[in-house]
Amino acid sequence: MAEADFDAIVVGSGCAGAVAAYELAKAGKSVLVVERGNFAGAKNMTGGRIYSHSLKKVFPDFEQEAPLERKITHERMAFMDPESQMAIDFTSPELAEEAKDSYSVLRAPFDQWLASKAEDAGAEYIYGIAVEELLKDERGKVVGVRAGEDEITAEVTIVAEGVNSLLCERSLGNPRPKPSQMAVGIKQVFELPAAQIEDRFLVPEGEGAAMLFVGDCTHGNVGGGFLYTNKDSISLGLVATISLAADGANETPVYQMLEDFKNHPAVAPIIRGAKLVEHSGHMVPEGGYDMVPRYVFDGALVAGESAGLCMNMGYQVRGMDFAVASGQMAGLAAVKALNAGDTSASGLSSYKTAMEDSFVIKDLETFRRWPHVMEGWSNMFTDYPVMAREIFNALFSVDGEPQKPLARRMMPIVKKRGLLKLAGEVRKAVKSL
Amino acid sequence: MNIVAAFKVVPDDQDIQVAPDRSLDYSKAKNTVSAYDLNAIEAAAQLAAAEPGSKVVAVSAGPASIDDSKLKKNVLARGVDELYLTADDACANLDANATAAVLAELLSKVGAWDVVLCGDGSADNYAQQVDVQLAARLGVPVVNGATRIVAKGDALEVERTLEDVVETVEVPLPAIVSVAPDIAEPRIPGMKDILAAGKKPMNVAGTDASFGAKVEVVSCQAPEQADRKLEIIDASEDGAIERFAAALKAAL
Amino acid sequence: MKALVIAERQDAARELAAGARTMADEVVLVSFGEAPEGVADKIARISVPEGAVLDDAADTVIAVFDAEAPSVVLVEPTRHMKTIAGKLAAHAGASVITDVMSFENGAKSLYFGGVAERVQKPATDVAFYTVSAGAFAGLEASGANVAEDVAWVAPANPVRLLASKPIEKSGVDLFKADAVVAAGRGFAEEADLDLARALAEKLGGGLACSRPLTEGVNWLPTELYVGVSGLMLSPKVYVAAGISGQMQHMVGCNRSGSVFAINKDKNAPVFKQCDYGIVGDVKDVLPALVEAL
Ligand SMILES: Cc1cc2nc3c(=O)[nH]c(=O)nc-3n(C[C@H](O)[C@H](O)[C@H](O)COP(=O)(O)OP(=O)(O)OC[C@H]3O[C@@H](n4cnc5c(N)ncnc54)[C@H](O)[C@@H]3O)c2cc1C
Ligand SMILES: Cc1cc2nc3c(=O)[nH]c(=O)nc-3n(C[C@H](O)[C@H](O)[C@H](O)COP(=O)(O)OP(=O)(O)OC[C@H]3O[C@@H](n4cnc5c(N)ncnc54)[C@H](O)[C@@H]3O)c2cc1C
Ligand SMILES: Nc1ncnc2c1ncn2[C@@H]1O[C@H](COP(=O)(O)O)[C@@H](O)[C@H]1O
Repeated sequence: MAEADFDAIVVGSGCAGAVAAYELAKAGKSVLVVERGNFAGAKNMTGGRIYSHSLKKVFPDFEQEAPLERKITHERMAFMDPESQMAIDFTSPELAEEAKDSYSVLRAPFDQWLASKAEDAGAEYIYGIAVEELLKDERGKVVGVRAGEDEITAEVTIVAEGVNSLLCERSLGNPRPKPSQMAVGIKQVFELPAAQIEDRFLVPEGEGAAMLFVGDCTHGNVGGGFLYTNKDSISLGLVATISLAADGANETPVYQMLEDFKNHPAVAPIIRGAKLVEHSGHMVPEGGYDMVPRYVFDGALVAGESAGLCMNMGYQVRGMDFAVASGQMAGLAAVKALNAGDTSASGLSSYKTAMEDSFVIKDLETFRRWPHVMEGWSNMFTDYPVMAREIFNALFSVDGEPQKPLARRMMPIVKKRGLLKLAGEVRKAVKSL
Repeated sequence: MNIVAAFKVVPDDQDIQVAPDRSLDYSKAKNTVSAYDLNAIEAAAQLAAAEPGSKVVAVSAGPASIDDSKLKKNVLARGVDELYLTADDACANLDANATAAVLAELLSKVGAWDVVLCGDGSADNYAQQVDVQLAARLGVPVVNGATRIVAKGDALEVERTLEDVVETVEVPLPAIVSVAPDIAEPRIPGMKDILAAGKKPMNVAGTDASFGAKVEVVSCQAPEQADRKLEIIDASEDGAIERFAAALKAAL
Repeated sequence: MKALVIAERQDAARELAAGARTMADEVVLVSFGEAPEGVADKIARISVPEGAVLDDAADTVIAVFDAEAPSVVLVEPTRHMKTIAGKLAAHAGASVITDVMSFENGAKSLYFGGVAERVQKPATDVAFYTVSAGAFAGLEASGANVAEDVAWVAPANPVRLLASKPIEKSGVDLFKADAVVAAGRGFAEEADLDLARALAEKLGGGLACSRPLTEGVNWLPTELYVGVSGLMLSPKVYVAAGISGQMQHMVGCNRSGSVFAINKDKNAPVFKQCDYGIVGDVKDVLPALVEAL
């Protein structure tokens, strides 16, 4: 075979692709990154929080360089019914400890920074073009990419095109995710001056809060709401199972849920007076471990969400740290294979070993049953928030009538639901976490 | 034939925000090639293709931020052979007279050229003046509104579509021709074009000259938005068409 | 103070001369054919020789400019005249302030296709403006029209006029229509324009379009596009069908009585600038509307 145009081609410059390209370029390999957007992060979306541990491994000084919004030091979880909210509010110095810390980010600046790191290391970039197909030789080994009439070849191709990877489906034969393995996320960004954010969330200057909502935000359906504070804006959104997303299939379309969520008495004051500046929607894989497809092929590796690497806990989505870590492992495995002159599946297999030894596959495996529990646990999204409201009303509201003892106030609320059933549900959930 | 295409780099107007005081906020707007200058670049590439042995040089003047690798590759991926930029903050927001002065200086670096193609007008000023001022400064003829250009030895035959007539004219070279967008649809560069672009010569420099403004900007503000009812319905809703039709009738 | 007016069409000459009167005590009109009656103190008549383009009258106009030494120059914004204005300004070391809509504390024009309105003032001794039609509406021109023929000054490198063919106009006067239906790139095929035509007919109005439909595809003639560089309309009813609502287009219709929008994308910017919007495909909505009306 004629010599390839590049040592490696990376498809997509999200968290996974940019990091893979960075590792390859840093090792002196010739790398081409093909990114569909007119710039990295142009259309990419995330809720907003990246756990830094895996980023730190790639860029030890990322705190100084990366366009991070705020360090998250304030966590809040809220159960909401249509009118009330019961929240757990938590701050602690451990949240800010190195390697445990997390940051809110906005994809446009963050992805551009990642891309600039890859570019500065020597990766070549093509923007504004979507790869349509992977090229294969007569033995089925991936040897490059095609877009339009142009074909470009490489010894290794890394597919990091995000969720719903058509390339994986079309060219690598991976199955298309089932609708039940997909959720949809929508998000809006509201501008608010930094000082007001700090006042509204009771955080020190430069630090930020993360809030997760369960219950009425998805009208009691499986999913949840999220809120992250940025430097001078707030990211607010919802994730809901996809069967709900198709308009007409459910009573309330997702965008209407978001409108209702924004008007909820616990949310409205947070964004009062803030200016809506951005609106976006995106798929979220939620199949967990069971939807991770094959990710090592002859001449190709798959990283990030294209490999199903994402954890949707219903109330929280985690994918960026997986993307960064898998991108790094894919990049390093490709370097190793290139050095050894063997980019077949067996030459590239160190990727699989590294993945299985890391938190990426281990965490997905640990939480493997959670998606199913969540799907079958509708109470979590409907009745529990109502129960919380009843309990706390019983606890807090005083109307001058002689009060019954606490236990007698609580019992009817719990009894209504059956104490054993409740305990059983909780046990099942805890076991899957 | 040595063909020059002059393009302006402007903030992408889709991302210009209007601040509460109605001033324009460009902080989210990326630099892009002014829309109708892409047609000039394409016309230059097509003219070169029709005249074997031709070369296309693209030139632009603007603030230091126009020296952007993505932007340069984008231009060079469109059938352009070489790029010359004057990228200097002294060249931000110049009026036509000053722009022509900078471009004249830049053209002197390009070497011999036969024709400079300009766009129909820049996206921000849309003054349709830089081409004319440049011609006046260089002492060469200029025609605008070109919808077809054919090389005829040391002249060009140009069809220009004006308000009421279509003129066919012969322009002696060297000359400046500004083209109507109709002349050529900008191509969509492919991966190979973009890769090749990265390897083409790019000449970027600042300038020592200063360019006095001939026009003073008193104010620049978004217009007051007319109050509109903003009643939006979905066509699939029951009775949507009927309601829309009724509103139409009522408004007439 | 003296003003120089340069125009190739009579109605523009009349309006600019009337406006010039409010800026100067003496008005000189440069005319290239028959001048309108009684509009200026003096008419500088230039006859363009056979085979020359009107733009090449610039050197002759420069001679008039040098002789008259005006302090303000008002020019009609046609392509021919814009060339002359630019050459004149270059000669005087100035820039032209273009497409002025009105004069108050400076000259107001649209910026970035209507995203903003910019007010500018010349920083030079002589002011050069091209002025849009309507800027001096309502003013009456006057003057003795003392005519003087100006000798042609041949340019150094003349452009030769080989042929000149008038553009046939459709004849519909959209300025007079109560209803205008404008089609945009949401129309996938030329034949679909009949759907918009049918609505226009039903409303007793005319068909217009966005600029892309006149360029490249040439589905409709250039004179039918609405926007900053095209028609500025204000009918009672304006229906934007398959138009996204870019500012460059909307400035041409945002003074209409009511703006209606049909677009299949509920986030299209046009829905933030209309009175009534319907989210749907033009292919479904237009026939249904015609039916319902
Ligand atoms: C609503 C929502 C909330 C979330 N919240 C969080 C959170 O708080 N924390 C967290 O860690 N994760 C979160 N995630 C998940 C996280 O955003 C993703 O897991 C992560 O972005 C995946 O990174 P990636 O690099 O694999 O893919 P992406 O970031 O999607 O990048 C893929 C890139 O490939 C490009 N591309 C696609 N197709 C092609 C093609 N054919 N050719 C060329 N380029 C192509 C795209 O333009 C894009 O730049 C959230 C996701 C959603 C939708
Ligand atoms: C200097 C300059 C001057 C300009 N001057 C003008 C001007 O005077 N006038 C002008 O019009 N433009 C002008 N433009 C161009 C302008 O910027 C826009 O590009 C243009 O107005 C867009 O036209 P459009 O809305 O038809 O097309 P698009 O922006 O492509 O929008 C098409 C719309 O149709 C919708 N659509 C698609 N399919 C369907 C369907 N089946 N049913 C319903 N809806 C559908 C889409 O959702 C989209 O919103 C100028 C540009 C520049 C740079
Ligand atoms: N700064 C610039 N650099 C290069 N070309 C320019 C610049 N400004 C204007 N032009 C060219 O001149 C044409 C007319 O511009 P304008 O007079 O601003 O409408 C544009 O279409 C460009 O081709």
